[in-house]
Amino acid sequence: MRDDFVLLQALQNRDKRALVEVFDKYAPAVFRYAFRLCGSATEADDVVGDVFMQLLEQIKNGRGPRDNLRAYIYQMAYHRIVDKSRREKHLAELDDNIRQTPSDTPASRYERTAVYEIILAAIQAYLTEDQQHVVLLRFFEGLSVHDTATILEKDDNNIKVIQSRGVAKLRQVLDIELMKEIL
Amino acid sequence: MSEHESVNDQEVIALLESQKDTHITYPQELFEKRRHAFLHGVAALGVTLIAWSLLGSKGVIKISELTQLGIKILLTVAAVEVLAVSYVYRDKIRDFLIPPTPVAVSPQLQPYQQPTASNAVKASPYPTPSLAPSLTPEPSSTAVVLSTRFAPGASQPAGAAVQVTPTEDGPPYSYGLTKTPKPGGGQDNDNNQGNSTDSETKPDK
Repeated sequence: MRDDFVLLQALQNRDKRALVEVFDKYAPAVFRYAFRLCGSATEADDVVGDVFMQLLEQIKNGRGPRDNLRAYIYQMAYHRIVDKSRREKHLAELDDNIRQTPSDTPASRYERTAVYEIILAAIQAYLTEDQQHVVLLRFFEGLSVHDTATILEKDDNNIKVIQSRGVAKLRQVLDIELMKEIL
Repeated sequence: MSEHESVNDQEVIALLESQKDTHITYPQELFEKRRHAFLHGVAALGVTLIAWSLLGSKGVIKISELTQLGIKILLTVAAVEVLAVSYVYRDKIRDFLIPPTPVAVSPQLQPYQQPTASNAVKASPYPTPSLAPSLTPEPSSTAVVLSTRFAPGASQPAGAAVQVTPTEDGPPYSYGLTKTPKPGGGQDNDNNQGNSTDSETKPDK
């Protein structure tokens, strides 16, 4: 599989095979990112579909990624997840029965590690929307501060502040010593 | 932020990063369906995308080169059009750029001729009447009055023109004429101008 720079050049030349390569490389990553935030495989799959259909439209209209393919794809996923989250939040306000508690999310079907489930539940329950995205992108997806800032369309220093507050919140709610013992 | 909190934050970060490799698999069935839909979307991009991708992938010609080539072709066509139009309208352009020089008309001097008997001005002992109307109307001694009321005993019908000749005494129907006041005479009254008595209108003899 070609690296991002070569794929980017091929996409700018509208290489059809490069599009398929980009899908094979980034669809699982987008799925993981969306799954950790949505907690549903179906919803995460919808996010993947939306992201890559939008990528096709961008390529078709002569736009698309220019310099950072990975950040570009994660940015599209971020916007989709945020839109979906806000829409569901609006629906949940209309009917509280729709709201799912973190403990009964379908994530338990895919993750067998208890620590992982606790951390994910804490992230979903206690962190703000921006903090959730920053923590997941920085520590679970391994993106740099600059790439995360590009995805969230914020300043680098702003991302550092959001990250610091999110980690501080997790420190308060997680029993670190207990988790160390488990691990 | 205290040092203790900072150390705890580092522990949290280490804990989060340890979960980075937690295996989350894209369910194969969902992945295949999504990939199939994506390939269908790629194919549906149209003939244009396929042509572009074929040209681009085989290195036959690059998009940037095509763009430059297109610009060059357009510029060449535009230049040829300008040349053709200027050739067709070359006369008008020449007239516009180089206006025609005006021909100088030199006044022709007529030789002086002695006046002869034929072209000499014949003097007339009588003044030539001018046809131009005079601005100052000449005073007329007669006035034409159209009247619907006629003098009693007259034979002319009503509405006929009556020629009135002013006299020194002033006839009783001398309308429009101002009598010259006589010294010692009474003042005319506008209200009973037509019915004035003889003592008032008759000048003193």
